[in-house]
Amino acid sequence: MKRALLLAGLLLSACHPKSSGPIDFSGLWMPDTKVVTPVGGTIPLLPAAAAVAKANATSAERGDFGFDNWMKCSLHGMPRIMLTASPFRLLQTPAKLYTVHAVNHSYRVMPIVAKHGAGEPSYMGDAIASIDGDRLHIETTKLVAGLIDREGLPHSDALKLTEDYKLSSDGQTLSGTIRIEDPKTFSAPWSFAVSFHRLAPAELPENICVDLTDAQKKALR
Amino acid sequence: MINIGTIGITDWKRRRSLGCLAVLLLAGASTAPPRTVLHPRLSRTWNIIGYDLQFRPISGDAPFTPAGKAIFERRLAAYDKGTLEQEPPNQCRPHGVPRIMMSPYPFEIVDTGDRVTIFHEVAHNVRSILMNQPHPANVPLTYLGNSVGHWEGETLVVDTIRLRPETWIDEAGKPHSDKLHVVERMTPSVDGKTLDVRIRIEDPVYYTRPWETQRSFKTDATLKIAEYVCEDGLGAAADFFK
Repeated sequence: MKRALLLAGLLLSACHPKSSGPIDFSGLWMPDTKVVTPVGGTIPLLPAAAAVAKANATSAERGDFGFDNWMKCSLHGMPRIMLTASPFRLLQTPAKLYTVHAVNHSYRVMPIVAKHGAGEPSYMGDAIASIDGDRLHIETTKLVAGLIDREGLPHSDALKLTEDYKLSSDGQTLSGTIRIEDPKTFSAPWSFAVSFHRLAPAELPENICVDLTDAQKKALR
Repeated sequence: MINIGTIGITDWKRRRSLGCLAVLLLAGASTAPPRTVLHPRLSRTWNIIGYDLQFRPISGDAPFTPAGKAIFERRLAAYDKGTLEQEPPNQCRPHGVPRIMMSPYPFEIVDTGDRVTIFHEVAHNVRSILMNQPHPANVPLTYLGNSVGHWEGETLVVDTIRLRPETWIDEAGKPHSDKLHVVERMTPSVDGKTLDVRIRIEDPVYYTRPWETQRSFKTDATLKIAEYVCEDGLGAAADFFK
């Protein structure tokens, strides 16, 4: 037994890079979280936003997803893309992080810098990342108004997102919170928990929204 | 297909790498990311220099077969008459290869060692190029095909097959079949400011012999890709092309 442990230690020591640099978050990940559950129990919706959320939820119950631009092949946007039943590949370089999502080949680009750059509002927003050991921090601003989740919870163009993730010690789980700050939609900042599990190495299939049936699009809401 | 024997990794190094990979996977550990950009002159954001609807052969005319010539002339005539034929990008499908390399929108090349990813601004096309391995067997036909690559010095050589025949070689309408085989040689200049891409096209259905074309790209520190959501214009595009 001792010999086996010694051998395993030697092999790991020989193979693992002798670096104290940042941990590698890259790989293929699958979202575990589909529905937003706020930390603390309630979502502090302002009255107008509450009315929109209720109308969307009522439509969804009827099977009417007209409120959801994904059904017209627009991008899911942030943070919704991280709650979609679709795997994504996380790529990591010294200067940037990237995600490539299977659903409709959408992607995020997240420079590892301290300040946001210039740019127009977009579905994925302007994101900047930082890494501290096994923790990954991403701040996103300049988002166009859209949906936070498949239930139709709205957000405005004033949304600021803060993602804080921690990689588990076995490297198989990425979990943490997404903080929502949007004074046009919510009376106070709030957060919800999210997690992702690592998938075995594989290639993402080519997924083209305009080639999907409505049933396939509904499954990817 | 690339010749794996030419990639410059000796057998013992390959065996050691595979052994280490197995150990790390079994241990559930992840390797550290590269601490420096592996190919800094290529790993940048690039924009095309000039624009031309056609990929023109470096020498001579495109060696069409009669069937290839008939399709190309039909598409050119439709273009001249203003009655464009549909091609996949008109309806927000991926452009295809090499068609995507003539887009007037920038793209970012990201080298992460075992994979090179090209993020195109236009219609959020993403190409994924697996390095130092042969094409897998039985891959389906896709709009962007199956790409594998290797480095020859600072030149990235990308080999692509299994492309859906609905895509066009170029915007003018050169056709290809599902037998298309594309080899791109992407070479950055010594000063890192320009990129030369040589493209070899082989398709025995529509061309009598392989032929080569070329594009050049430029970069600067301020260039970055933006979000381009083709799908938000679908209604207008459908009206235009119906």
